Amino acid sequence: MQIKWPLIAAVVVGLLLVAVALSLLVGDIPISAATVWDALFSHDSQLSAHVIIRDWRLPRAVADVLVGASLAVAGAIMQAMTRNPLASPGIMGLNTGASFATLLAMVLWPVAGRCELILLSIAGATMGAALVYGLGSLSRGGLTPVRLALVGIAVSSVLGAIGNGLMIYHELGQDALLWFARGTEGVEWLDIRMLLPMTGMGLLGAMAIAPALGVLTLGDGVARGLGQRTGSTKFLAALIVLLLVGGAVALAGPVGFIGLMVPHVVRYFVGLDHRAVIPGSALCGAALLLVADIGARFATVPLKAPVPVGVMTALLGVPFFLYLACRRPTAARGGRL
Amino acid sequence: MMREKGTVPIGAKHPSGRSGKGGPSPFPARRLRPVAVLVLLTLVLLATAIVSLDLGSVQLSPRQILAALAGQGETQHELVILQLRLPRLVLSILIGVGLAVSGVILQGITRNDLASPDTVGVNAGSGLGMMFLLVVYPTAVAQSPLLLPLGAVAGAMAMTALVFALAYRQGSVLPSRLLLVGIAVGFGAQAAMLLFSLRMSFSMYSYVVTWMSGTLAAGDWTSILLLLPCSLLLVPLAFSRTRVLNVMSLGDYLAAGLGVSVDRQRLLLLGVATMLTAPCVAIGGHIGFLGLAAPHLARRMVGANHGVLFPAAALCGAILLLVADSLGRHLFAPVEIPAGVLVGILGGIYFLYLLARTKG
Amino acid sequence: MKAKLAVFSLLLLFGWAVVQSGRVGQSVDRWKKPAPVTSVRQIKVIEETPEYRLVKHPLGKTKVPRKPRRIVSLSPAATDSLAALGVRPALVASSWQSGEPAPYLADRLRGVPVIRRGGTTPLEAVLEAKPDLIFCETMQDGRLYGQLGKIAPTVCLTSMGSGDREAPILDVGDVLAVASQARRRLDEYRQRRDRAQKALAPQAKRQPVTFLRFRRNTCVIYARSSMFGPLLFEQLGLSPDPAMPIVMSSGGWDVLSVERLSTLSAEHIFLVVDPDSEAYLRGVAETPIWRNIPAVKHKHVHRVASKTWLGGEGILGCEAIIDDVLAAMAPQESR
Repeated sequence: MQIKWPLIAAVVVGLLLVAVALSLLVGDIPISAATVWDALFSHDSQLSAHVIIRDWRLPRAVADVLVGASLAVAGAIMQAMTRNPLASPGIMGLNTGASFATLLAMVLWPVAGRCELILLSIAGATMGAALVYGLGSLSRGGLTPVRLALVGIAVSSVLGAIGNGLMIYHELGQDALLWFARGTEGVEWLDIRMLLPMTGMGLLGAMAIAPALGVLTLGDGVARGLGQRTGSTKFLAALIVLLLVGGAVALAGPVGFIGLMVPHVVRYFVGLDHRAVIPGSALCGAALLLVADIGARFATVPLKAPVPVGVMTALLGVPFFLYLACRRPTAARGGRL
Repeated sequence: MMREKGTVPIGAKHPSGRSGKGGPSPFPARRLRPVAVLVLLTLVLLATAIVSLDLGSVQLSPRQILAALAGQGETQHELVILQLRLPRLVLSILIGVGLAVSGVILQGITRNDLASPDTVGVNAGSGLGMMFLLVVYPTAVAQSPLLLPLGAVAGAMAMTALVFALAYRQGSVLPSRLLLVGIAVGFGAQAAMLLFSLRMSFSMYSYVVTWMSGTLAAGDWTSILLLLPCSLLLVPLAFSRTRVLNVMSLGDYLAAGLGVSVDRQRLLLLGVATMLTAPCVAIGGHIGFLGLAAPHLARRMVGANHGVLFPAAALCGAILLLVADSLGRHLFAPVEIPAGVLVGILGGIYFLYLLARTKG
Repeated sequence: MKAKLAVFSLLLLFGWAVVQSGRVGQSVDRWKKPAPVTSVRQIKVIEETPEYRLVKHPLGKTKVPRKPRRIVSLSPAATDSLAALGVRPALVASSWQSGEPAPYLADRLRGVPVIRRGGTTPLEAVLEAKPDLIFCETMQDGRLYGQLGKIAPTVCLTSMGSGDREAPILDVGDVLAVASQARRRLDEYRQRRDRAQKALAPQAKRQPVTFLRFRRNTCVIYARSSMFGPLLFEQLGLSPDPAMPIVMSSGGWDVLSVERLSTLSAEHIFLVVDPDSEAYLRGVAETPIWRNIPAVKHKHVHRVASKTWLGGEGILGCEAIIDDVLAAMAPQESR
């Protein structure tokens, strides 16, 4: 469907700005719009309301944008690289690997600072992805969508079992849960400053290889025939994905389904030209996570318990996954997106 | 309905003996005679059983163990052997067999060697059922210890029914769709469980985590009595479907042509698998990985003929769970590591070995 | 069509489940006053013979020997009560997250072996202690009740999260047939508590009090009706910070974001910091939001031991808490 996509882009950006504004207004304490305006433009650091807006809500909104964009772009890249409509950070073991590494850090190295946690997060994501990709490609026929999902489940159940064992032995229990379920709650400017270079590099890199990705979706043989060096493209793409996801998980914990849903929706509107898909995914992913975060904050009121943002994304993501699973048989589609 | 790529059962003899990627086949073309393998596995099981009776914080000499088994030891020793260790032994074997057989069934009806009870929603359903009861009716649960296992079974059945209903379309259940729907529902259940977990007290949550890791600590003769009828009924029923499963692995068209009513058999077998798994999960918790690993291992050893695959997988499952449970009890005594955790670790090592072997 | 119906009905079922779980939160409104906590006795002596005592407890009936010599206590409430009665158990289970019992019991229980739970109670370790009476806890050990019962007569106590900490000693006293001694000890405790209440009376109204816990880089506030709440706010007469929820349907705590810290108006903060959250506390302590809390401005932030406040489930635990409160708010009264 080829609608004028400058128009679509403008709409999405507008949505994003509205979402950011809403995110600043919604929180545990009611703060009026006038106060928000003052806090941003005539800041008085003695007023706690101003401090809250500038030092807690604004970084949270920014983090949501960064994390949402990273996850969505990572998902788009993964789906293009593997030509597998189910590929996403959650399913390919990146989230699980990163969480597992963080859990290990909590247990073995409790004083690890943010820097070390980020590195560990990336290392864990790499391990998880390597396991899933390697095992999935083992059999004849390679990484079909179903096989990918199954290997993902298998690997995450193994890592989950080991993680459970650690949690039980050290009696970590709910502490680990609180950490993983926190989302972007409590993010500070310091964290964003540390992760911005990584995420920025990742997003820029994604834009740079976007044309190559578009060609890759036609198939390895075609791409090679058109003169592309598929090996180095895939390697670069994998590196970028690890940068993006490692940073996102270190910042906000494992948030699922954004990398799965957003690329599909964007591709539906924009087609397979990845020079448009990548930035489109970034914008839409940012908007989606912002909306989910706001929704989670709203949902805490009636449920009287903290609602992790991952649950909100699952609320949208699981029906979407079901829709993907139940449409025309995947074999007949030849694994094409 | 085309057969999906990548679903040739591992270990089946390929006409050319090669995998599709070029290079030597990772799976050796020669194989020990299946019967020899079965005998070997039985011996290993016996040996493991004997060793497991010996492991534990109370040290007993072999003579004392034998005396206790014969009913003539001291009361303390009899207590340890007959009431603590022997029930766990029997329970491990029963649950291992149940999960492995249901794994074989599921892999047979989906023609995908990566299917397992996890992916049909049984484990997620039982966890969810349990958590729901613990959060919404905690007093009732504290009063009657029978309520939780019942809740787990109910949750498992409900979840499997949901998965099946969602995957049912135009009168048939495509294997790939079944798996994907199961996974989707599993994710949803995980999210719901996350929500519940944050609303529990610390001790309740650690109880749930332990249960979810598959612990056989509460194994006593009453739970065995509960599990035994199920196993005695359903395992032979599964074994009797050998021919059907063998034929179904050829593909739906061929199977229908050979006189097998594919959809009805698939439904029936799915029901058998669920009924086998649900009580195992209710009693022993979520031992996630067994239904995947045991059939896998067995297939590599004896091939894809369900006549030998069933008993081999059952034996593998029993051995695996027994080893995991005994090690869990013994390694960090007196702290017990749940069996499910060790199965996960062993499974992880097996995965890595598979990877390393193929690349190298 | 049938499939659609099935899916629909199952989804309805799940929807109902979700709503149910939400309604638990609603019916127990955060700010509504709950019914006052009445003393709930869990043990009832049914029959006494020269050889044994038949005792009814939440999980059934047990024949308890008249003079048990080796007692194994897997329930923190029972451990506390046993120590208060001057009985040395043969084995205790450690409280969570450490290998020892609570520090306020450390002196009395010196030399008593401790087993770590780590998820399930190791039955063989209990067996090796050769007990003739076992106290266990319904939530943790309920599944093992049958097995424990084969090792030795087992009595179960349910851990009441919401603070009735006076009943356990009476219950344990009944089981051990030292009921009068138990009652005397309880009276001693009550006198001490009333003395503390009088000492705190002048400040109680003017100085609201709150309890915070820093765990895993989050800050958590506990509800007024959980654990130590009734002791502080009903029996000692302290006034709670209005930001403390009255009831929380989860484990009695609520996550406190830094934003909500600005709503605290307490004059005294009792603080528990988990070992891994020191850095987080330092970070929060530098924000102006934290520094604007009255308690912080007047330097009334008191660090207390988590095992005492969150774990202390009997009279000795209460006494330790009272000591902490007196030391913080009325230093001239504490010994």
